[in-house]
Amino acid sequence: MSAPDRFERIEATRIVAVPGALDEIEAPFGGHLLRLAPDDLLVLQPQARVDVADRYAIVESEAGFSAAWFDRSELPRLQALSAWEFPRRGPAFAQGHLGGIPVKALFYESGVLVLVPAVLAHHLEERLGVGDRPE
Amino acid sequence: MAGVRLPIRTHPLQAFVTNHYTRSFRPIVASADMGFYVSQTPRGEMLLGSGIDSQPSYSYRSSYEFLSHCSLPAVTLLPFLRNLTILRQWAGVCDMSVDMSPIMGYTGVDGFLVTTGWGTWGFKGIPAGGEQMAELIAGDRTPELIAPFSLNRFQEDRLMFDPGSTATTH
Amino acid sequence: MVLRLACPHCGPRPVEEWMYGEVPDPPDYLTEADERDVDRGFMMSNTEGAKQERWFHAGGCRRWQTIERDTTL
Ligand SMILES: Cc1cc2nc3c(=O)[nH]c(=O)nc-3n(C[C@H](O)[C@H](O)[C@H](O)COP(=O)(O)OP(=O)(O)OC[C@H]3O[C@@H](n4cnc5c(N)ncnc54)[C@H](O)[C@@H]3O)c2cc1C
Ligand SMILES: [Zn+2]
Repeated sequence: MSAPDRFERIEATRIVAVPGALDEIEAPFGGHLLRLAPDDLLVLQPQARVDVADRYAIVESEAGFSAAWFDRSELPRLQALSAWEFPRRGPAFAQGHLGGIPVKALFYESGVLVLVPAVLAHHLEERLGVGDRPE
Repeated sequence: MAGVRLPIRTHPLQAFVTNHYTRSFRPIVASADMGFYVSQTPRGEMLLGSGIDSQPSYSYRSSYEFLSHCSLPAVTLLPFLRNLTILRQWAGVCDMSVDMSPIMGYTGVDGFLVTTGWGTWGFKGIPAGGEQMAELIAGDRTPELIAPFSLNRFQEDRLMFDPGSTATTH
Repeated sequence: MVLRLACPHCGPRPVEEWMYGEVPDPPDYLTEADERDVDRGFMMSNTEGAKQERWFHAGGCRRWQTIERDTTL
């Protein structure tokens, strides 16, 4: 079982626009789309170039999240720390509390990428026991 | 119904006790910052509680979330609690007023008086409140001590945040 | 037993992720402007039973959602 990495700050792109315009956006090569809210989209790619069909869209680079990868074998332990059900099969995006801390999570067959507001990352590390386990 | 509108919302409040702790633990420990309190009952059980459930509700359901929410600060501050087991958990409902202070006296409806809004720390103030209410009912005039707590304080824009009656920390 | 509120965007989530927002609902029989203002500012129906509520999903999509809930359950 490989121990999870520490959380590291990521660079992404945030797009706030009317829902219809966000519906049409396709993931740029190598970037994933996280629909945080109907009018709020996070592209997991720094300075992503995407066309948004909304002249009032706000496209900003987003450095407010930290992320860490957890292997599939870690899923039961993580699930025990949240009061909502993880998606059964990936790829799937979900958001909610993990150990009492708000996270965004991308589930794959092989594991899960957990995003957390950067200011809360060390709290989440503590609660998930990241970094303090024997090598 | 009397048709009286009140600045009151009903929220559950939970508490739980552990099994017998063999040593005696004298103080009541409460932390406003960490949001929990603990004391020992005469039977030696440790009694723990925290703030109200955030949802307005008349339900007496107990939740696991409350247990974990309350236990984390408790075992952080008093590590010996780790070794005890939880025996019972329960919930009651509390009438929370907008300004975290009780409301006593006339309502504008003839013959209908209230004493409510005692919140989560009502026990110690209520005996005095009850006595004063009895005096009001028997004497037909509002005793000085409870006059500021009248329902019309909201019309008059006199909110209270009275720490003496409900020990509010807000 | 955990109370879950169903977020239209995120799915059913425990109440700990949410913040409750009181919606003023002065009754029709209050007709004077001042009376209605006091009611909007302070008074609450404190409904026992099913009602529509406004909740902010702080732990998820961070949007206000309208959710029907029974306060006796
Ligand atoms: C778990 C828990 C722990 C608490 N711990 C503390 C503490 O440590 N210290 C402290 O000071 N306070 C504490 N409190 C708060 C305290 O219990 C309340 O502030 C106090 O009980 C309020 O008293 P009350 O008379 O205003 O209302 P209540 O005690 O709620 O009494 C209201 C009464 O009205 C009755 N009633 C309701 N509707 C009707 C109706 N339509 N017709 C007739 N009767 C009706 C109810 O059955 C009830 O008997 C705690 C409360 C709970 C739930
Ligand atoms: Zn949501």
